Amino acid sequence: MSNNPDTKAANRRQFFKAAGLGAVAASAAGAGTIAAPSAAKAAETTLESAGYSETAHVKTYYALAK
Amino acid sequence: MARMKFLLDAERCTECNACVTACKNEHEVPWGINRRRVVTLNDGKPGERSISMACMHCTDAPCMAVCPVDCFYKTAEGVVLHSKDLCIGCGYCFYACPFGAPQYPQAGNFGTRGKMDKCTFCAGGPEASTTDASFAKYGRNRLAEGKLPLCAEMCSTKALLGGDGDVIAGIYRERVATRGYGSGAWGWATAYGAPSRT
Repeated sequence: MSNNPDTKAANRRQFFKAAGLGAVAASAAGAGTIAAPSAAKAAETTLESAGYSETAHVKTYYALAK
Repeated sequence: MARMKFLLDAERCTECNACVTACKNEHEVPWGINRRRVVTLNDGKPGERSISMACMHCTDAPCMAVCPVDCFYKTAEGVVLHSKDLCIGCGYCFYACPFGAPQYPQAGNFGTRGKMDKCTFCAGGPEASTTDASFAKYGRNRLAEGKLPLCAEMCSTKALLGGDGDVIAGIYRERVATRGYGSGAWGWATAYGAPSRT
């Protein structure tokens, strides 16, 4: 350990820099794991049908709405 | 692929509120929430118009764009639905929606609102449509039963049209041509000038 104030300051800066980079990396990794499934899910559900079909019931509605 | 849309013929709406009641009854919507409501403009004055308003299932839905947890999704027919399991009740969609469609069941401490509720075009939610859990959260799935939204189906004057956008637009176009004085739709005069009823 050095008692030189310049070295101490440099060490402290190194520590905060490392801690900051670590936090950024952790949040990016977390966001990646969360965002990836939701994006995949959105892509899947976009293709999903709500079940609409032009049944006799629906055709009657269209005919009566005129 | 059909694209589901609502279309209101303001010239025919009599402000009976039956669409509101039917929706509430069909889906057993909790107290304090109306998925659909009728708004009357210039009430009691000449030119009064009533418009039945709910989620319009926008093509580029602002609610979907602003949701921080991405709980909205769109079906192949263009129905905008959401997952109440993912919703955190933040209220962003309420502020983004130009129609005031998103509703919240409670107003608690610290701004808690509960899970957002809105019109589903009678298409349920992300879960299997026949389960009790799905019914409790999203209501009945009439689309899967081969039917259309009840509000549109039971409208006595057929002011509220719902279904395949191409078909209902065709029906509306026929009505406009038959009337012969423009659409009669609320906002028409603002956009295209006052209709001449000669």
